[in-house]
Amino acid sequence: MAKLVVENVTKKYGPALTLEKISFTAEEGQITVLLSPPNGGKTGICKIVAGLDEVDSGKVYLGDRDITNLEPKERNVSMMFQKLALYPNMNVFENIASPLKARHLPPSEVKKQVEAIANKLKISHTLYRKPGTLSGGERQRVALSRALVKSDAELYILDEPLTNLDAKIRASMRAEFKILQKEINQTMLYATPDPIEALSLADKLIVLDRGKIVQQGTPEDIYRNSVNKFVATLVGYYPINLIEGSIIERGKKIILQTDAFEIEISKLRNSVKDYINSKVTLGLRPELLNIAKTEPKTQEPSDLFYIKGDVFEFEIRGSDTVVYVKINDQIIRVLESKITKYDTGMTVWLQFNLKDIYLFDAASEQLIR
Amino acid sequence: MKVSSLIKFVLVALVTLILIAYFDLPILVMIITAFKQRADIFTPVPKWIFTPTLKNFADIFAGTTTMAEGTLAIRNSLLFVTISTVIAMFIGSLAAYGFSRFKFFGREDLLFFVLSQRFMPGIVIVLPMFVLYSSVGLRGTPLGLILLYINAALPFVIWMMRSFFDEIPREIDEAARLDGHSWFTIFIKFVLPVARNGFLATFLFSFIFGWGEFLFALILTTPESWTMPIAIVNSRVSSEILWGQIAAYGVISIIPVFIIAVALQKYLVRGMTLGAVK
Amino acid sequence: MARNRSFLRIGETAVPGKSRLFLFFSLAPAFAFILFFGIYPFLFACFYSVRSFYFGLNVDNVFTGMSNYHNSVIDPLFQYSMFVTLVFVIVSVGLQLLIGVGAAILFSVIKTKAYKYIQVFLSLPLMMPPVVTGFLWWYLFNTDLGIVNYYLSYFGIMPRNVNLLANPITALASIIYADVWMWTPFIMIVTYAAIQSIPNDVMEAAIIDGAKDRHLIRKIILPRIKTALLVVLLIRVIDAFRTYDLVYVLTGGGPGTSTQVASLEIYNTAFLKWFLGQSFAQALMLTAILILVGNILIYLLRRGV
Repeated sequence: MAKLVVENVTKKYGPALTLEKISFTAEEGQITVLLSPPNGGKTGICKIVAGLDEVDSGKVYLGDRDITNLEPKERNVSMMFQKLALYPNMNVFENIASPLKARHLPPSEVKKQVEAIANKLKISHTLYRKPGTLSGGERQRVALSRALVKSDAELYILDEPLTNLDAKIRASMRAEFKILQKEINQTMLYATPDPIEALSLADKLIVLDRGKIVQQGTPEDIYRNSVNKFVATLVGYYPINLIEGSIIERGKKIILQTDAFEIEISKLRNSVKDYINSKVTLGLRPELLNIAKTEPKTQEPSDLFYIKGDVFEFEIRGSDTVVYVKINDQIIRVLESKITKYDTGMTVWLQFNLKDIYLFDAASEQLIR
Repeated sequence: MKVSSLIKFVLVALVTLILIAYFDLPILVMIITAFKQRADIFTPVPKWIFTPTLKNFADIFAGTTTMAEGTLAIRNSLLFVTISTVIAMFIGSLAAYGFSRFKFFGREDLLFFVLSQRFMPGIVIVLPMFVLYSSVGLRGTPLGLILLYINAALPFVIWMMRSFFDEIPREIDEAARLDGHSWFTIFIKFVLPVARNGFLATFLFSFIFGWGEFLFALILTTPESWTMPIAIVNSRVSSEILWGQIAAYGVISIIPVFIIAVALQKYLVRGMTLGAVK
Repeated sequence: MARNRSFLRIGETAVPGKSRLFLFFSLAPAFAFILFFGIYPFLFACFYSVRSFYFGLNVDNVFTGMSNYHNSVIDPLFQYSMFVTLVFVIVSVGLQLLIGVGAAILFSVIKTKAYKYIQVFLSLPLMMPPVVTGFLWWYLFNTDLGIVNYYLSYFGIMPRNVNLLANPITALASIIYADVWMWTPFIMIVTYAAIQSIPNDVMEAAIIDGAKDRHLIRKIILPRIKTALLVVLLIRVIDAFRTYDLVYVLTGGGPGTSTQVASLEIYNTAFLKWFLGQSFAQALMLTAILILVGNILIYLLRRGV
């Protein structure tokens, strides 16, 4: 395994997309995740790192080699494609064996390694069938096996490996993958549009917006300190609530005022002093909100806010519940990690902590945490 | 709706019958004629009942009544067309692969240029080649004709195969490149097999085109290297036309192509969108 | 923004060294052939088309400019041959398309397993060299020996001793008939295969939506096989313009010169009149026309029609 360094890579694909000055490092032995909505440039970066595309400018280093202009064969990387790209005219064994055969390994060695990886990924029973006869999940594993069978590659690139699976399998594959990665302990570059995947798998997370890196860091860091609205919306377990409002000063207090409610944020005076009398967007993550069924006793001043509202609707999804609370025509989503039943229309109190709110300038910047 | 589906069935059966009659009856007549004696052919009223004879076929193989030695001509045709088609298939497919996978300046124009080779009437090629061949001693040689046949087949092969290759997702090439295979290996082992149906269909049609080629053979062959079409035309001897023999030639000429078509028939029925599905 | 000025790319990307090498070697053999056996003759023809070139005679090769071209264009025989060829192409290819596509659609909609076998037998005409086809129909249309004459007169449609090949119009009809007979199977096979490649779910969705067969055909099948049709059309039209073997054997250009298609005329100019220079000029003009037609068809093809 080796460290991947991408330096100022730029590439124009046409009017729709340009990769601009992409720079990041994928540390040895870690999974670095590229996260972006579709067509954000993830696949482009993967292909460039793999050697299937050339850059307009910039450099790519793997370990201590400059691989910017090397053919894929010479880069010593391995890749799994989003569309899987299994060879339809060959059976599973031959598909997985392909990288080994290209290196002219002796047949006995090839057999050994192929069977080993097939075992590990639990597809030994499909070895002599053709890809067309397999299920989606099985095909995924074949593609993964083919990528992993090159056990001495310095970097493994995985382009949306789980995207084509249905939700149920995806969740279990995600867990399996995490374990696998720990076992393999290699440097991985992993691309996905799914924030939950990103949050659970990444050692390092890189968020892309239409060809530009907007933020990189640990998943936790990005989750807590999302640099703008886009990142906050993307990186979360459930779509964030965004409410328009403005900050005003009333006497000695600083108030965040929205159409639905007001909260006092005097404690954040230092952070927001430049934004008094300007428009902001309030961000509330559903998973960080709580619901109280009875009016809580408050001690002022406190860091906890309580806002009264009615239950508009709720959805039990397996092991958690999404509650839609209506406050003066504004609907706020709350994610409760337990199953709770509500009566529609009942009055509840929305509860959240000052330190959990996000404030963005209306022109998408984050202000305070 | 039993009635309407019955009507449909009858309609279809009728149309099928008509089509088969239209296309195959003349062939039937030809086959029958091939087995007729001369006297039975030259009757004002068509004779359907007669004593069959193999004389026509025998004449062809013995080469007694025409200037052409039938066996030689048949053998030449088989040899020349098969060899040239096979070579053209590989050279052409390789070029088609290059055209399909690599974008370069002027690619579409170059492709049109290749196709336009087929636009020239035979004369344009034959005469200059006659001159050229005469000076290098290739005139009348099998090699000379084969080379020309290969060139004649290339535009069609390249055009067809390119559209078949275009339908194969590039990801397959990419995966193979990452695995470490060379381009040529990718072509032979990974891409060509997937285009197998198109390959075989193109082969069949190219073979058919070459099988019937007349003009080049006419100008550029000597009696030793005559192909079958020449031998057939030479059955038009000054005194009379040897219909029986021509019919026999006709029967013989269908057989090789028929065999190939039957052998390949299961591959032909699918996969010829020719670029429509991308 | 700095950009690699590479004129060679794979997909969207520039091609590094080794791949460039492969591209070169993949195209090289084909182009070597085309250079020798295509470009050289073409240049030869161009060169001599502007000269007075008489084969075998020791007439000096005088540069005569465009006179060969000019003479051909004003030559009524050449004009006529182009006209006849045009008629031949339009009618013959038109009929082939109609019957071929029609048959293919019919068989697709009906879905018989027997099609595989039917197909082989329906394509027998395709398997014979055109010269054989020419002879066959010459025989069939022959006044004395042909069964067509006999049975047409037997059923009272036509007097016994009419020579179908002696009347300009019926002669033209005869070669069109033979050409249609020979090439329709080609169109049918390709079209059928193209239809088969339409994904089943598209067809099924349409059927569920209650589409009647007629609609099914028009709205679903035709648009999707347009590409295949255009390719096949391209091939057939170009080849039909260059038809030689069939006509040479069947009518020899006759009666008189009424079925003298362009290729025949060109050939005659070369080998009967020995006006090689002029024959080259005629051939090149025909080529120019075909390039025009080809361009139009390809433009339609590229645009997806």
